[in-house]
Amino acid sequence: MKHWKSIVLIYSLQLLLGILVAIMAFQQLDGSIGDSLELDRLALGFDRSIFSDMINRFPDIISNIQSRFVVSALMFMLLSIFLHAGLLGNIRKREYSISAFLRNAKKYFLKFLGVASISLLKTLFILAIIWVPFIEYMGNPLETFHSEKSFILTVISLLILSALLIIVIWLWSILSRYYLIDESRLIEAMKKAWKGLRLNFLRYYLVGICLLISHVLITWLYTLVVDDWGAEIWYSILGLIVIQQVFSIIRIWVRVFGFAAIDNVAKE
Amino acid sequence: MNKKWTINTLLVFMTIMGMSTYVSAQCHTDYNKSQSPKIANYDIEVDLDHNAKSAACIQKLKWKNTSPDTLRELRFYMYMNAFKDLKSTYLKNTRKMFGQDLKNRTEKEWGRIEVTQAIDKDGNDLTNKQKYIQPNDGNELDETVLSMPLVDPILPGEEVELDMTFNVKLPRTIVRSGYGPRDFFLFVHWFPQVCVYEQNQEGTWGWNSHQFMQGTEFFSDFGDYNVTIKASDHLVIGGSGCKVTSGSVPGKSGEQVVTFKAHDLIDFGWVAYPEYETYTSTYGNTDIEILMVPEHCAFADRYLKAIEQGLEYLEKHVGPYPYPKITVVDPPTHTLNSGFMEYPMMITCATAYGIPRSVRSVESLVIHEFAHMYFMGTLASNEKEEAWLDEGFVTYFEDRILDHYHGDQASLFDVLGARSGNAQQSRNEYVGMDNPNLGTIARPGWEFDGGFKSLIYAKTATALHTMERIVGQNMMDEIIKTYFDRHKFTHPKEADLRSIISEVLEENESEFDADKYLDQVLHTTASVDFKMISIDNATGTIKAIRDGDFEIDTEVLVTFSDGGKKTIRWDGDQKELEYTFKAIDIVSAYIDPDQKIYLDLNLNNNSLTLDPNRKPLYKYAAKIGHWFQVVSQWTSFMM
Repeated sequence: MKHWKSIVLIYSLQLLLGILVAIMAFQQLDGSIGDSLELDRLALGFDRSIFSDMINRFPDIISNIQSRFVVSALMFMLLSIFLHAGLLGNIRKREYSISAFLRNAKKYFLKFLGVASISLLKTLFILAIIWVPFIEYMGNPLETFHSEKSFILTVISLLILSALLIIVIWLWSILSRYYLIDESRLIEAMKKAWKGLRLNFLRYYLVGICLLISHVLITWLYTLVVDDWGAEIWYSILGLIVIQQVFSIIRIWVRVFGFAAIDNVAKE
Repeated sequence: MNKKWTINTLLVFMTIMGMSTYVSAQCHTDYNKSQSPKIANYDIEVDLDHNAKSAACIQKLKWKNTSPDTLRELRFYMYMNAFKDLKSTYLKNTRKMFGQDLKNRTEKEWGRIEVTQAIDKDGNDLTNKQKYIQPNDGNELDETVLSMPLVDPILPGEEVELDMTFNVKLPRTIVRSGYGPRDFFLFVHWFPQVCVYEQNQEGTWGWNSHQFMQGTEFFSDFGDYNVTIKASDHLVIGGSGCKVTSGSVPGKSGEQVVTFKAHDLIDFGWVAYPEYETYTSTYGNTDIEILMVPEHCAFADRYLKAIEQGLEYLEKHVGPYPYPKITVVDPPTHTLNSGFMEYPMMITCATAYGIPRSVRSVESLVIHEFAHMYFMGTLASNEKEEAWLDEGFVTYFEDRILDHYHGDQASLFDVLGARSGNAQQSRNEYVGMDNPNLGTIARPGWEFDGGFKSLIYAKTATALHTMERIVGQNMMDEIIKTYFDRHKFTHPKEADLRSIISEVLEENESEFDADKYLDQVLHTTASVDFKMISIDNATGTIKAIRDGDFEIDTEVLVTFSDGGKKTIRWDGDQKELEYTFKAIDIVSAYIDPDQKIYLDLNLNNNSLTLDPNRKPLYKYAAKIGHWFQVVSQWTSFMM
């Protein structure tokens, strides 16, 4: 928890973008059904007819919310290179202040941009190697495969394989960044990272797997807890928002914890 | 005692006795009473060549002339010839169907049917007299209706007997009938089936013998069926009717003979597939047989439960199920286009590995097809000319049954907080059309150029829900029960249904103008969208309009700030409503507050409030915002 300031900073920026999306969504919903008594029905729980009728009459609602959503997500993706630079810098140098975070973020942003770009290319390469031959082979899946069960299980297996390989690239990417903080040359850092990853593969991989599984579990748990939370009283809205944000913070905390674990293994 | 030993001993004993190994009948024995006029009766012997995907068949037809006319020809549906090539009326403008490229099919992938011999009971050979006719479009290359001129005319009330031989070759499944990989065979609409000689709307007798065209299904007379199928013994065979005997063929290894008997059906279909696993159960007096492909076996209990719920509900709200058995066929996914269909006492469904229980598309489909046993199988309306009479009622009951057993807000799916009832889905299929005024419902299937399902299934069902909400479920049930009871095992038409509706409404002294309502629903393209326009507390006035030409009475509930309420009647023939109150403290106004008019294109604009409850808007905005946080967390992983 020493990095709590970094966690709060990342969470706050993410929340800010989330609020912008939420405000836009509120305006769109309010503009279409804001004066309707159907809201009383909606307060009791999800009502498909209300949403269907709204989308039928105001089809732009979905595309408006969607475009704001996508633009904000892309913005956060870019921003996250900056945030990773600050966070990993703090973790590597055992620094904990916001000012150190910002200084590291500024210092390593461009270098990390290079690592992120190379990692993205590697990811695309791996995905292409796995999926292009499969799609080529698949043709009409119902005729190629004995049954849809074998088709679905094959797809699930390939998804798992993709995830397992992407974890390797991700670990390589994070280690490269740590070595970049230690020295300035990108290629050298990536070579060192690959060597370090190979030497201690199982320990690193365990961190990667745990991080992935914990994210999946957190998302699943959230859907279990929240499902269709009612909106009959203000406290229920407040409760929903509190729970949502607790889950968001946990997610960021788990990631920071994972980064610190990778750093610990690297330093041993 | 060792069970296997006992069975083996029994088999040896039966073989010694010179018999094949027959098993006992599936259906209960009191199913021999006559329920229908038994006009078209068939004894068919089938010899299936599974390698050639074809069958050589012998058919003895007994057909009764129930008309006052003397007939000099018989007409037969030869549906399989629709899949003979791309020149048939069914396929002539089609190059792709369900994702299949039909243009590049090989010869063996096409289907066909031909009568190779037809002899009447006096020994007259009619084979050379037969000719294909095209009563609808004159397309001489279409061979889906066969005319068989007779040597001896059939007098009114007389029965004709015809011994026929025919060959049927299945196509690789395009839609319904056909074969699929690994010896899957679905034989439906597969034999020369006599068309219906009936009175038209004007009272004139004649052949109702439409060519097979897209947008149309089937229409035939009731009768008894004895069908004997000889096939390779690696196939599991199921079909309409009761499986009376099944066993090996004496002296022939690797072959089996299965015999089905069925009474008072309008058609007979059967299926064969080596991988089927059979599940059986009994509910009340009805045997349920489910043929599942192995990878779908986890769905067997869902199929079974859906059939049981369908039976329970329809017996209570429509009438007793008239048959002793129902067979549910689960087509392999590689031949999915053979699913989604109803045949008397047999339905084909569809599912896919991994569909969760909270998504009830499986149950919805099973219940839909099963409801056809009532609306199509028993009330055998003309699916070609008046498809809404079966599909509309079936969708209506699919909605009612699903919503009754699983709740009207979540009966179709309930996933991650998003949910839908089945009736909601049906309504949305209609009100969500790009153009809800696209066309009328009451017209033949071949006249549709788009919107068939949305109008025939969804709009009709939604209109029936609206009617139910107006007259009440009890009266609606009385109408449907009377309709079923009076017209079962006949070919009811719109006029028959409407006469029952009028009669029941009159008996119950209902003020509902059903004629005006049904005229608009069925014979016009009119739609209705009530809109509350304004509340003006300066003058105490509310204003509302009705978009669309559909005239229907409704009411407006106005609420005042002191909690007082007043209901105003709004006559259907008025397009606008303006009402001024003495009080000037109106809080809200709500058109059709009980949402009786389910046909309304947009229910959200029916009301207006000056004190809106915005809590749900905050909730959904917060949810969307949070999902942004989740997605950005995941997508930023690689950055």
